[in-house]
Amino acid sequence: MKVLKYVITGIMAFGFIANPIVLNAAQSEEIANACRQAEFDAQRDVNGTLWLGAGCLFGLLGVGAAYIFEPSPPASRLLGKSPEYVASYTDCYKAAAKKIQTNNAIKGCVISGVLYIAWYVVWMLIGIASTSAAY
Amino acid sequence: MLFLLILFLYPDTLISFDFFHILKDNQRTDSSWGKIFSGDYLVYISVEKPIKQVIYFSGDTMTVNYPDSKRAFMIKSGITFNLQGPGGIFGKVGYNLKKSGFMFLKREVNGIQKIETWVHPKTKLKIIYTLEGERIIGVTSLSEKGDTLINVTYADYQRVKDKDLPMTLKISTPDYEEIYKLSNPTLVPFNDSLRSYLEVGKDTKIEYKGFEK
Repeated sequence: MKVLKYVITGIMAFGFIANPIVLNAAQSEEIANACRQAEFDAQRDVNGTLWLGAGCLFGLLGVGAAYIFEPSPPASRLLGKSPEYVASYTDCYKAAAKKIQTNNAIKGCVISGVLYIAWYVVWMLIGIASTSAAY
Repeated sequence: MLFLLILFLYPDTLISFDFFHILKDNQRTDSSWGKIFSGDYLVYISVEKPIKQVIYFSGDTMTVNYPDSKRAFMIKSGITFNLQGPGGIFGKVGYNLKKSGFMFLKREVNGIQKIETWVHPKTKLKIIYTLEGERIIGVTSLSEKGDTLINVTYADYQRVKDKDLPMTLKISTPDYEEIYKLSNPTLVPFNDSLRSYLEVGKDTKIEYKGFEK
């Protein structure tokens, strides 16, 4: 009987000690979930093709715009969410969206650069060919 | 000065709705409820459950305020929230599209339904909306390739003041679905008590997102 009393007291004491740990674990889980969800949503929302086009058409300016322009998460995704969730979701959403935009704009910039060089080489070769044909 | 200008622009009365919101995709189903207040130049959402929260928009900034825990977030966006124009978020669709840079393309009449197509000259984004009389019943946005990006349906209209307002909004995209169920539309004076929703308390810790440059 006495042993049982100690066991119950021990369990209760552990419960009290572990409570903040359990709460912290739940909160960390919520924050991790928020970040995963934000990255998934940003992937879905951000128009990669648009930024590829921006990089292609405006080169470094497009890349700069992609870096500066920060999309914010839609309000509906934050409705009824805790402050911790909102903080984590917003940071991760902005970071993920910015990364997608910038990566696509860089790709566009590289594509336009390669195309520019390709055209330059083609025109140079045409120029050389026509010059040597004249001789 | 800006604060005075905003106060000057605020309407005398607002329409308040009780709302129930569901967001569903293949990863989650979230729901929340509370009140939405809407008027010319102004819309704000006061969430009651699952947590007390007030969301409102001003210029390019969305404020998410938690009055109980005295925390707030000011989230800057790359775009300006377009709440201007008569009727606020329920204003004339054509007027709002024109203001957003869309061009009218064509109008088809099918019985009592009028279908208008608008196009954005730069992005080639198309917006097709269907009206029954003065009531908008659906909006579809199409990409340049013709893929449906978003489809919004409006149903269960109720007459509030001199406007017909939809009490059910269903937003569907290929990836997720959102439903707003509105009820109990009421005209309320925009008094000090409601204005206080839009004020972040002096003892509130504000976190700024997107302001760091």
